[in-house]
Amino acid sequence: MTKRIFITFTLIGATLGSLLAQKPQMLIDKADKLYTEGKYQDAISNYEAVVGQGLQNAELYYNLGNAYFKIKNIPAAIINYERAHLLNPDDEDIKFNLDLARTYTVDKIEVLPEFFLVSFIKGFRNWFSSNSWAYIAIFSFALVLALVLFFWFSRSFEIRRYAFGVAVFLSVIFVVSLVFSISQKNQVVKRSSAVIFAPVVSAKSSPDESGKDLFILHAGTKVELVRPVGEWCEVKLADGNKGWIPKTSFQKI
Amino acid sequence: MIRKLLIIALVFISSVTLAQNVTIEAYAPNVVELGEQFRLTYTLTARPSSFNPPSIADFDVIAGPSTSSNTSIEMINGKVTQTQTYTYTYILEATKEGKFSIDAAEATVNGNKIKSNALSIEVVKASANTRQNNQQSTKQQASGADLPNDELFVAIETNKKSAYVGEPIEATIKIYTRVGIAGFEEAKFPTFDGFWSQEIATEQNISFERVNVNGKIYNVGTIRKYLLFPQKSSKLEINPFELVVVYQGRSTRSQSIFDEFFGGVENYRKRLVSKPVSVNIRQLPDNAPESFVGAVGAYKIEATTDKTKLKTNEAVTVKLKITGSGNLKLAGAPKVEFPAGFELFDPKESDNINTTANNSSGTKTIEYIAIPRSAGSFEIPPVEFTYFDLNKESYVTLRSKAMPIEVLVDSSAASGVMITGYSKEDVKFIGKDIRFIKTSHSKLRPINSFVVTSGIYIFIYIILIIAFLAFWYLYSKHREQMTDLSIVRTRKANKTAQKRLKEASIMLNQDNAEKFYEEIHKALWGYTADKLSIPIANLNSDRVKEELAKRGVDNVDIEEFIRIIDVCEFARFAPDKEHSQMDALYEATYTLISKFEQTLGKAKSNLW
Repeated sequence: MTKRIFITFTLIGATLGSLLAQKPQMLIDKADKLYTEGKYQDAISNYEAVVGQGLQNAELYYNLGNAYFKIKNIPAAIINYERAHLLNPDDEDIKFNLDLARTYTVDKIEVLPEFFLVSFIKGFRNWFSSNSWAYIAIFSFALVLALVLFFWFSRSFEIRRYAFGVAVFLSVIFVVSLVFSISQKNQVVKRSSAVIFAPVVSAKSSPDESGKDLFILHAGTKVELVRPVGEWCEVKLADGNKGWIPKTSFQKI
Repeated sequence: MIRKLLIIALVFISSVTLAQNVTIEAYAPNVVELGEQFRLTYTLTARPSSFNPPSIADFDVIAGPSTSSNTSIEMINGKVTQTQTYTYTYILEATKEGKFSIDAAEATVNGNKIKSNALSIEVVKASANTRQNNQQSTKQQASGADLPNDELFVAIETNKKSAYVGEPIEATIKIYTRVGIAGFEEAKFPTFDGFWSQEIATEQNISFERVNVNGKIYNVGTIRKYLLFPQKSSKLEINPFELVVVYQGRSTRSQSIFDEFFGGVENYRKRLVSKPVSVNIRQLPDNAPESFVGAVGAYKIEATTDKTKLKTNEAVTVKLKITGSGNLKLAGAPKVEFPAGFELFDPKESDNINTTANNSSGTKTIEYIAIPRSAGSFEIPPVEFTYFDLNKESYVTLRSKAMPIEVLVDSSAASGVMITGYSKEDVKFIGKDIRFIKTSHSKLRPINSFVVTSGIYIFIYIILIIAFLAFWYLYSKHREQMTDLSIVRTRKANKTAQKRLKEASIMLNQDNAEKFYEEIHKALWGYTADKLSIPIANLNSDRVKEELAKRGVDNVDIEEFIRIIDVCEFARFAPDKEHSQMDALYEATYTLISKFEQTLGKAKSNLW
């Protein structure tokens, strides 16, 4: 009897094991191969399986976006490119494909000009991903500590002077990169923007069906989410216009 | 001679062909009324040696068979055609209602047995008119002037009630009549809005045929036939056909004897308008491939180039032949992707299309002319042509073969002209596509996991801070331990030296020379040892000299230091009891120590 139970458990274990053996990396390799062969639909299901396991990286989203683009599902391609872009803001390929996919969308929105300092800082922040900034922060922090020790304990005036200067510079880098790392992380975690998936959706002046239609959005347009109320969400366009659209009409990035 | 032979041969051949082409055709109306008399004819194109008519059981044979022959000789442009027909005619009367068939007749011509076609004849109940006519030919018939609509009408008939966009529909304009027709006047043909229409050639003269419509026999004539290609998807209505017909009807006004005698028939006019016909046109499926240019039907393609080897700046023509049936005339030209570096000209289209009943078929030839501007081996990729197959109800994509082309450098263009440099060309962007997927992957991370907020990351910071503080604490403690002793010693150095000097001065007063030198030696030696933080054990004059020089003590003072120490050491073993000398030494030591105190005290603040 105990033997039988043991066998049953081993069997269950083996099946679970084989299921888990669908290792994400293997799925991705398979999907890459399917994509190369032009079987985009199959590639998508494999990539999505990895995403479904709660795993991510910029390349995964980028490849998934490419596969969606190939089957002409532009909103899905855009949302995946956006996700990849958030995770790896300095990747040229992601930016290129995102821009190309955006040319397939209907809505042309004039982007409000940003204050040059803000865009400068944003550009600087997008040099590296959140994780890279975190590594830079910890490295510079360690150096600052070492330099403080040098400053404090060295007998040589020259060494102390240089140590002080470099330490001040590095502590600035430390603070900046830590702030950038956290702000990039927040951008991803907060998911404050979305991509319209409904072919056409009209933005209302208030969060109910009776509200006046303000403007019409088409699939693939990126909007900023301002606040949700019930089944509706207030969105802000890149040109500054605001309106209410149903929550079912978009997907968060 | 040769000519004669030729003529004989020709005659022989023509007679042979005649013999071969002998046919026998049976003809009878396909619908008759009960009690009606009609003709059954067998027409042969040659004289038969025997003729076996079929047994006619379902009809009464009133007369026949009577034979007649007809010979005609035609000469067109010197070509002689001789036609002979032999006709056997029966006059039959329908006695029963129903559908009957008459079997094929058999004839023997030149020893060959040939068979006619079998016929089927439908016998319907006689209508009131006919009966009346038969019984009482002179008495009341509907007056000719107001002919009921079902006696004479026109209709547009289509072979399909629903079709895809581009699918051919055959539309026939027919006239149905039960009265004699004297002629047609103005006719207004439909415009076929929403269709691309093509008229199908029909016989010049309208030939009537008897047809049974709901138990009534009509003479039906086809006025015109069209092939329609729908252009848009919706319910399309064909607007009515209008025709003014002159028909013969019984005269209503004159009752004169002559009129009666001549039948009392008069011509009347009537405007006929057909009933509107609508056709439901369906949209083609959405999933059309890119190479779909609007062709619907069934096709074949063939692509050829006129040359495979040419020089630069020579033209090459790619000929694409699309053969098949469907809306070929409306299909656009498929795209031929020439390699970059070929200059393209507008394609030339020509078509040869026959429109027949049911479909239009033929060939469309498209010539693409291109001129290569640079040399090399190229390949014109396969031409893709997609059409919508009506039978499969799906798109079918055809691919031609790839066409290799070798382009040689045109040497004649270069000769005589000095090429001084290559003209620069911008990189041409031919197509736009997304960049390829990434094949190298960084580590997969769980969603929303970031290094910056991970426990390990914060832990490393804590470790760093702890390590920093620990190092700080330990190092400063070590330093303290190291420096504490020396500091005390340094601080006390002066005091000890002063004490020793005082002792020395007492000894001087007591004239205890030995003790005096000892105290001076001790004072100076101890002072430097304490001041320089050198353990007494390691003390020697070289070391002291070195340390003093390092701390910026004047060379003169160092020499003085060495001299005093030497004097003291010398005196300790051979004391010089000269009071004045001892006094001077005391003074020198005192000044030296105060000098050292100044220099070493200052140096201390500069170090570490």
